Amino acid sequence: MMTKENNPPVASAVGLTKIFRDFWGRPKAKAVVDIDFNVYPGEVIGLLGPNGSGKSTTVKMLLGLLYPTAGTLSVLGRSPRAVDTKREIGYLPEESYLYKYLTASETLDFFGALFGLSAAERRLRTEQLLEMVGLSHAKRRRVGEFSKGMARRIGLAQAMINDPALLILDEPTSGLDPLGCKEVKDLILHLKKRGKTVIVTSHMLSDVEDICDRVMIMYGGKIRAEGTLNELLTITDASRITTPQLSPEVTAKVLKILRENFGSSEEFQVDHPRKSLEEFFLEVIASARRDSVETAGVVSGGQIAGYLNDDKDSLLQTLTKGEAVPEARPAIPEPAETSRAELEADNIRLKKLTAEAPAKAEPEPAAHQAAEKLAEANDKLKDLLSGK
Amino acid sequence: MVPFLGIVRLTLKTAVRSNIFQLLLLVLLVCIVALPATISGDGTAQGYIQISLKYSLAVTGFVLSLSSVWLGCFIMSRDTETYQLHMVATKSISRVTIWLGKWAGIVLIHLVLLLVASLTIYFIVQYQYHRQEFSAAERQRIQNEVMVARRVYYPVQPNMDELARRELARRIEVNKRSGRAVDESQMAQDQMYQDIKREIVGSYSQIPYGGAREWQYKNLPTDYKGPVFLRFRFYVAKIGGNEQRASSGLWIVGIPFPAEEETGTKNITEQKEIKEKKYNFSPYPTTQAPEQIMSGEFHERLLNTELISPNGEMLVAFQNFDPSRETMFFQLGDGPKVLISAGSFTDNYFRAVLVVFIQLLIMAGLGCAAASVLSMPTAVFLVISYIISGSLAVLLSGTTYFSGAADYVGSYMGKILLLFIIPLQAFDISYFVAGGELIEFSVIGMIFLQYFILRGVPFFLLGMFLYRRRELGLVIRK
Repeated sequence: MMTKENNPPVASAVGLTKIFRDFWGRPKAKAVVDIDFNVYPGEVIGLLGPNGSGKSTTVKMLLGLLYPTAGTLSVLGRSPRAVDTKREIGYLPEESYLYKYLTASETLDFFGALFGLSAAERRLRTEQLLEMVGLSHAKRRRVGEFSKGMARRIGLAQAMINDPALLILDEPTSGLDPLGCKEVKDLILHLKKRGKTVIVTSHMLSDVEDICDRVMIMYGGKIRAEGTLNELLTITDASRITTPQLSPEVTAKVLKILRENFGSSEEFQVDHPRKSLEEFFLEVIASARRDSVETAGVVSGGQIAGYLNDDKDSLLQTLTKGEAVPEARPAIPEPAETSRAELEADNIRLKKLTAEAPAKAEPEPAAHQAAEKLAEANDKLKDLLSGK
Repeated sequence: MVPFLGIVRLTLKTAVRSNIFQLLLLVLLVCIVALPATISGDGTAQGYIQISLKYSLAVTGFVLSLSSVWLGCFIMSRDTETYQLHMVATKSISRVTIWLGKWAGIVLIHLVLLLVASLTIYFIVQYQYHRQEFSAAERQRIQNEVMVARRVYYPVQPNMDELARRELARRIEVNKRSGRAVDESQMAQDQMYQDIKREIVGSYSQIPYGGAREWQYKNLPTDYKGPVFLRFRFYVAKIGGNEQRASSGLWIVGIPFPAEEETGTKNITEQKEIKEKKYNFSPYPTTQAPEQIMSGEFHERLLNTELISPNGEMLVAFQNFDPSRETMFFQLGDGPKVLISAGSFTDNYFRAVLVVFIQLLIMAGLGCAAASVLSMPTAVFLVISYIISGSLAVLLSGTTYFSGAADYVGSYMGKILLLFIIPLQAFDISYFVAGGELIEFSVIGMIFLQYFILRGVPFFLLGMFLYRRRELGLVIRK
């Protein structure tokens, strides 16, 4: 990520204020009140807040759809209303405002034309983007016939038709299934790696937590909190240790050590860590895919569009062929390191879900190897705690 | 250019895929085919052709004008109210380019419809002309009077305003000398002036029983060898009304001969006048006795090209032999006009189509400009009001009789409105095509300059300016 010291901000607001007035010029509502913020190149910024907090107003001012009542606002060093500024911005609105009678490929062709792209370039990017968002099979269908999720996907595609330096996404994962959410998040992280700047507004706090470097929380038109996730979320007066499965004896020993150091009046909790529902869901689907289960719904997107990659033969390109990009912040242990008991429980569930599909996957051998590794690690920890 | 063309393509797709295009095409074709069959003409083939030309073309222009206003308002306002414009305005395209692209798209689609409709009318007319079994005389008449483009020459008229002013001054002087009181207020003076002017115009138009009136024409082509027509209409007893009937009159033409040169020492100016040879005219009745002519209708009379003097002048006269000894009236606007062939029917027809196209340019622009800041119903209402105001302004400004202050106010208001508003009557040229009268390029140029450039463009620019400044984020989504 580019640092503040050596790069000017992509978006900068000083004393930004927006007051809506009635027909006679009397103030009606103060939507944004004297806010200051900077967005630096390569950041993924989350703009959060309840309904009516001023998020959408701020975004519309960044896009030039609303004009500030007071203060200054610059985007890419220029006024948000300048045509040159918009050349480097991509925008995905909260709802689909696309032309319902245009087909998917016509939609991307139209928006590509607005950036002055040649017909050949538009064709190329349209194909790549439709492939990326998983809508190649629907390229001749009218957008008005799309489901909400499909409309979001085509919206995301049009936001990137010009390979923007600044992407503004309003509820990007709204209406998408967990697979789609994962793909969007992976895409955002990929864009971030390429040095793009992304501003995301979302009510899905878990999604924001997964992708954002910094967040700004607005309420009543003002920024109430701003900072990196670590700065804002870390509970500094508590610690957490994650270990492989502990036997009751080891558990008792650990608790004894803790009570000796902190006193018996303190509350200690020992339980099993949980994977997120999203992770579990993705495992199920991945397993189903390995078992070649058919689906009539949206298929997962293909690889990132070629023109959005710097180096077409990069390792990243290879890694993104049909697989998820590794997370930047692996906070939760990989499935291979979970306890044997959990793994066996997962396997039972998997078997139930994939009961009718031709079984081609081989979960048992992999689980068996994983279980062996787990036992090994368990023994090592046991030795450590017992002072060996 | 690519963004502009993108907007144009989008606008075309909007119109076509929303079925407006198909519906309009159907309405137009029904009007073109059915209208001539429903209007009763004079029962002749010539009458049928003239109805096809006059009414079908007029209806086409009217329907497409309304459609362009509606489509302009619809496309501009719908994009804004459904937030689709947000998706466009946040791309690297200026608002002015968006506005121009939508306007161009609306004009383009109406141009296609206009061409389809006008070509259909043209081929129907040509089919009627070539396929029908006419007598040789009737075919010749249609060829000379309808399927042709004739340049119109109006008779030389005195300056009525100047004559009225002189007469007013004379009467005031007479009244003062005779000791009568003279109301010198502006309103009274204007009223007297209008009254005197009406008298002069009336006296110029009237031919009492037994009297005659002559008309002189200048600047006629001297090397022309084709047919020369005299087109006229007169009323008997009173102008207009349903009491018109057959009357009698005698047309007299002037046979030109060189005037005698004056002798004596002349100054330079007089010598120059002598060098421009003058011609006098010897009267010659066209018929041996007065002929029966129907009043209240247009008639055309074939004249000999030899009647045009070498310096391009011609003189005709008419003598009143009405059996009831009533006065005849030749209105100034009705001529008599001399018509000389100056082009082909096809050329003239498509000049008329060009005028309709200019009308569509303006109507589409008005619709787009109004909807730049207003919602659709308000924008449509505003434009329709504008059009109706223009039509009314023509009527108001043409008031010649002032019975009170209201008439003055109305007349002046009409004149002021006409400085800014475009009257639809200005584009009504189907009459010329049906009458075989040439639509001069100077007229087309004047229409373009006066109405499109001087009146339309400022309105469009205002719409573009407001569109550019509009805060799209304030619009409540529908």
